[in-house]
Amino acid sequence: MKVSHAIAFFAAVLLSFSMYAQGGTPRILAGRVVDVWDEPLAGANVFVRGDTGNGTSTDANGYFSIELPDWSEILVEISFLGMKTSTVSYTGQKEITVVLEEDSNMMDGAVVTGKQNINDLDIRSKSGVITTVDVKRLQDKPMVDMSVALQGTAPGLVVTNRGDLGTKPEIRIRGNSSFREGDAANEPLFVLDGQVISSDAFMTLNPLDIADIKILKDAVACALYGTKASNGVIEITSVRGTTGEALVTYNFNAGITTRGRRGVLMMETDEKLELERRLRNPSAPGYLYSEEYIRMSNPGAPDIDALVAAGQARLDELRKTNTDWFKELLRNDFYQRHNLSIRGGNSKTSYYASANYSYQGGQIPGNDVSRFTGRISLDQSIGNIGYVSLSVNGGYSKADSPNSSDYSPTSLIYDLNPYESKTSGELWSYPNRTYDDLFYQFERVSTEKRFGTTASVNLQPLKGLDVDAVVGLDLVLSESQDFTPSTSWSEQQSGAEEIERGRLSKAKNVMTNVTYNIRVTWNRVFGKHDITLGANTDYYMDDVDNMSITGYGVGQLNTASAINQSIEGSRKVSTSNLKEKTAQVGIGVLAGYSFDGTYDVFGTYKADASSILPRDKRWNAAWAVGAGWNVKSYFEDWEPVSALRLKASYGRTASLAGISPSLAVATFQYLDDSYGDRRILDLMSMYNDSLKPEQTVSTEAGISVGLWNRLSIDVGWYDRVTEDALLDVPIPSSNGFTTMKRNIGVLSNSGIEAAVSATLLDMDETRLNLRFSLAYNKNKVIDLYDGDRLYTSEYTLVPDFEVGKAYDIIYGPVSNGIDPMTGLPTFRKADGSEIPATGKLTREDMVALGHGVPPYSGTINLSFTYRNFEFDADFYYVFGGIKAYAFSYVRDVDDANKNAVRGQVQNMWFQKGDENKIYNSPYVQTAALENLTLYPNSRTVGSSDYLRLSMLSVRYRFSHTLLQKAGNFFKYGNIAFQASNLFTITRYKESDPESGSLVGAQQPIYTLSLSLSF
Amino acid sequence: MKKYILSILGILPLLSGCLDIKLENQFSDPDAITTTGTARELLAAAYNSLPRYQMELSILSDDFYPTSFVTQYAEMQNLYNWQDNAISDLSSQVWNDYYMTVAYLNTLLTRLDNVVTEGDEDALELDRIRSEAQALKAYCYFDLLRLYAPPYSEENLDRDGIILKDRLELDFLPRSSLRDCVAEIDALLEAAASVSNTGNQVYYFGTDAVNALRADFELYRGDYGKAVEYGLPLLSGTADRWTGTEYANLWSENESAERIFAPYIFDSFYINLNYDRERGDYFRLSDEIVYEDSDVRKEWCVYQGPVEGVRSLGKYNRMYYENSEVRYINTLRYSGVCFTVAEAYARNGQPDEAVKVMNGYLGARGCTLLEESLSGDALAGAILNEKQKEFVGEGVRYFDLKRIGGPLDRYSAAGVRTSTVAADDYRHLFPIPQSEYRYNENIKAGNQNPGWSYEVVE
Repeated sequence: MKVSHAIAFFAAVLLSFSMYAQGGTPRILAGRVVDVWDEPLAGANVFVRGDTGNGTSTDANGYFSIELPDWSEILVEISFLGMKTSTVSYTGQKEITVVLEEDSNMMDGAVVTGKQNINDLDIRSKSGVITTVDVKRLQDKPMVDMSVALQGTAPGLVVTNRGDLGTKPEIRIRGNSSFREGDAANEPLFVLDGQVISSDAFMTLNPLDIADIKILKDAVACALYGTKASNGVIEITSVRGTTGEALVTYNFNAGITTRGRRGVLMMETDEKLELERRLRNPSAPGYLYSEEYIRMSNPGAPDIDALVAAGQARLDELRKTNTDWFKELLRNDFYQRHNLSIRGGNSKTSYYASANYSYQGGQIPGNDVSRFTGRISLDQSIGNIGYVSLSVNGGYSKADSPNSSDYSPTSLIYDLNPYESKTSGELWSYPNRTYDDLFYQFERVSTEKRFGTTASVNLQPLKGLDVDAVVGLDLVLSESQDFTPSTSWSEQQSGAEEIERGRLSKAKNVMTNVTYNIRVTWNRVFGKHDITLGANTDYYMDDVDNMSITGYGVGQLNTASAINQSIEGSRKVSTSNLKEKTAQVGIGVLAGYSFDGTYDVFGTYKADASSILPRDKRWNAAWAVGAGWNVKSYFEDWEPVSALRLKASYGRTASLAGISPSLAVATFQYLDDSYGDRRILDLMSMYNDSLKPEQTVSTEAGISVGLWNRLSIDVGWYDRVTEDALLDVPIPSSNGFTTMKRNIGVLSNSGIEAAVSATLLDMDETRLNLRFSLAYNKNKVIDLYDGDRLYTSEYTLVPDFEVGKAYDIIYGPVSNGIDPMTGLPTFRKADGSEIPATGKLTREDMVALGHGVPPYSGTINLSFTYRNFEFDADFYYVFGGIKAYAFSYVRDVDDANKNAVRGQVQNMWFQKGDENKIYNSPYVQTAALENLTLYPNSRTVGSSDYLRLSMLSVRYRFSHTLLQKAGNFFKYGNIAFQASNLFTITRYKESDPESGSLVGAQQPIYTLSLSLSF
Repeated sequence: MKKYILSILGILPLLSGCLDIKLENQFSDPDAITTTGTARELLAAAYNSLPRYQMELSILSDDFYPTSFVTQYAEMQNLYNWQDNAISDLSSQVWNDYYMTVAYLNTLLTRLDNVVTEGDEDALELDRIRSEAQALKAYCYFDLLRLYAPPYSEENLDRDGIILKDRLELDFLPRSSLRDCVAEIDALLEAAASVSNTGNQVYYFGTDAVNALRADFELYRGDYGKAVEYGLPLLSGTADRWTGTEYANLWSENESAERIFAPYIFDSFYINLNYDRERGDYFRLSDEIVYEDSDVRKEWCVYQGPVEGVRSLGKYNRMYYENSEVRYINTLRYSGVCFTVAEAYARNGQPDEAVKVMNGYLGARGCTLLEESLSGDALAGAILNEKQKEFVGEGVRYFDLKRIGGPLDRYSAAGVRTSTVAADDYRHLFPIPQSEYRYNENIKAGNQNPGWSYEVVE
């Protein structure tokens, strides 16, 4: 440890220098540092706060002595890795004994650094709504995907998984703020150490590198980010160095991933063959080999009995196989994570470096994600006036998937018959194809290479004046390669000649984000008055550069160089290119005032100019005001209420989310095709020259109560109104284009978020915490500028948006069940009479079936500590929503050759008089079922409520004494069993109430974890 | 400290200025369309967007009989049987597609004034671009008018025609009267014809195409003298064009002297008639359409498909069977002008002239000549029969049927008549699509074509 010697020497020189400068008789404080079991702590750091050159550490028996400067107020900080830092006020005592408690979160070492998230001002949190994510629980979740792991970590932050492993989830703070669906218009802003990053970059972060995540929800909290923050902000602070000797931590986590929830039970062989017999389609063996079919198709054959017997023999043969395709096609795979980090420094310089490798295997073979990340950060103090910080991070991640947009092997679980097997040759369910023809049809590899760097300066040139600046760059290179080999079924059936078969599509996309932000903050306390003034200017640049090529004739070679470039016509090689660079520059001011620590007022105004809009509309504003009232200060001494604080805020933000220049001004680009000898310059969209940014108006009120220091309650109410909401609305098609982005109305999201946290037990060795949170969000159309209703399609019966109503309601008729006479579905008319299957439904017959987006979501967190054992469990729940069933596994005559849902024979109408059936007659024309297929009805939707045990962790923390006995080599260590997504309880009858798809359920992961620091 | 503040204030204006970011591969107003090069490229987008409903309109006409495969393609079967829903669906696509082309042309026409030219040749090119855009717009309006407006006649002049649109920007326009629509087309063609535009590629709408379109348009509105006036000059020296080679060249990537205007196509065309290359098509040629063996058109109009004895359509359909790429859609042809002129003569009481024009064509094609005694409706009928044989499967017949009126028989796959669409059936006019009467407050119940539903869910 030569470096540390050098640093110690340097520190000693500084110390003697300062002593020389001060002169006089030094004051000395001596003491001892122990843990809660009175064991001495050797090597604990002891510092005088503000006197960066002055520090010492305890000896083998925990003793120290430190020389104190000649100041009136002296705070001595005592820190030890793995322990909570203790601060002691020096009031002239000669000797002290400091008891350090073990800290459950080892990352909370004594950090002496600047800060890079320079918008994270103390004053902001006094009136703004900011929820801090419990990062430790996040790290305990064995999941490779950072953004999916964020589910349930903060009330009002709703994360919804959308597909197989590696797919980006939907992330929303307090619902969609726009009528427009999709991420571009509704995703929050992600900020890592002051640098704006893309949501794709966020997905690939290493949870162990993260010290802190803050969810900024209301206008006051977000306004410092200006017009970019209209959908909320997720502010991430990374782990940084500490003072003290280098600490190396190795964290290993490995386990298995399992198949997960089986949503729909499919038929076994006997039932399936019986169903086939009753469906009477000879393309299925159950009917083809049945006695009745053989007798019918061979009238008068002399050897009819032999034929029947032969058919029976074939059926008996089939009955020998009973494949469970759920087990056969899905797999158990493994999960692993290795993380190595080094952390250390002294009072001047601190550093952190980490490397991480993670792998998670998906449910279906060919689906997995692996990731490698690295990070280095360095903080250096500049004299006594501030800090310089640098950080560099990078990552590589790779996701494989066998699912393409039109082909999903997972869906084979529901198609393949139980009497078929991987080796049974030609399949009944897929005529002319074998099992091998179904697999290895498609391959997608997507990789992401990320690089980010941030530099910041935090200076305090004068007392009370802070000058902070951060500059950063974040770069994500996403590549994907889609390959359909020439041997695949779809290619063989394409009709293309042999040399034109095999499709390859390769895309590269570079996303660059540049941020700079300079902030000046001045704070002064005059008696009871505390005044803060500030100003900042920032610049954000986004650049998307995409290039892709699609070609044919690659045969079985998964490489773009194998594309046959001589092919003409529809299989001609094609390229596409997109480059869009936008920038935003802003200037903001803020003012805050506190009186006596009781009343807080805060206001901020920010003007942003964006390159997206033409010059005359370029500048848009975001402003907010907030107030806080610390009621507790009136009865400081009254114990039952340990905290009582009220907050309220109001703000207005313009939003440019999801707007591109081509929407506001006529914009042209070249098409891939040509017209004769000319390129084609295409008009991109029906531009709207009166397009305005959406305006988000937020109102917020909240109360925090603490009781007996045991119970804390936070309740917040919010109302977020989006004015001039944008939507692609249909326009008369005589305009050429059928839709146009217009400012169409006003919508609101309002709701309540509540969290209750209770310390049920707090004894020396036992601690039990319970936290319960609930978020409720209600959306509503307040106004439509063009009438009372809006239909987004010219054919829909029910308006998609209607003033005064929620816009996520699923409408449909009330089902009267299956008519026992016809076997057809019937519906209830508005007047109570019955509509036959082919009857015409009208608007009045449609009723609101429920909310498509569950309005309620929340978590239950449980923590229990006994001595060195820790037990943590997180439940996540949503309720109040519905989802339509796919019903694609119910078979009629035409698809009798595919497997069907268990119980279909019982529940299907086959003949006149079959009463109380669930499924309609299998023998009808599709036209007779239009009312059934076009609209969901009261029987084809189900509640999407669910409760999930999303995390379980049982940890044993090696005690300090144990580690000392082990040769004093390890400073810190623990071993844990950790699992995620253990089970989901739901009334939803299909696979996954979350994604609503048959294929995209989150898989359970069970792991063992070991963490050692030395 | 001041230094910090000063440097911040210094950087701000610097950055604000750099917000005029030019997009690398997108071009925005006002700098997008400023040269004849970019104007021509935008015009190419209009050409490329020209609707292609040749097959659907042929199915609606009497060019085809269904085959037994038609039951596999309900949409086409319903269209053949003139079912309301099928025509409604087709109508919304057709309406939207034509107005898309009009939108491109409006975008271009309103920006041509900003185009800066360099030199005389460039100025001429600008004139040609304007002329082509105007002619193409007239072409679209003319098709729309024939599909959506009542037949041209004095008493119908004040009835609803189509929507006339002069700019790209969002409008909620009423239907203009038939009178105004005809006047607009006339004005566009007049303007287009004022520019000489010859010798260009066949996929551009040149002077000959403008004149051919004018002849057609005059025939439509019954000004037979003008139809002859515009058409006849195009026919000088064309007799040697009606050869088997030139006709065959129409259905290939080669040049053909018969083409006047043939949009270039990059992707596939006319591939939906075929059910399966090994088994045949959804529709076959009508039994009424018979070619003499000596007729040079026969080889490329009739294709012996995979089923013995079933006469499939040749032309693009044969190209599909033979895997040859379609590059030109033969939209306006000299032979079409020949029929227009002949019909105009015939209807104008000049049967001798009509027969002379026809026989010049028929002789060269290797067909039996028309009897010189023919006149009046019989002559016009004979001319239109030959026209159907020339253009079978190309959607031309649908417009002619509409013009001449009369009932239309529908057949089963066995060639047995199953139903007849009466001459006064409401379905002869396409319905105004639902997107208009739901989203355009100026299209009210009274503006829907008679007989069609006007359902607005409120």
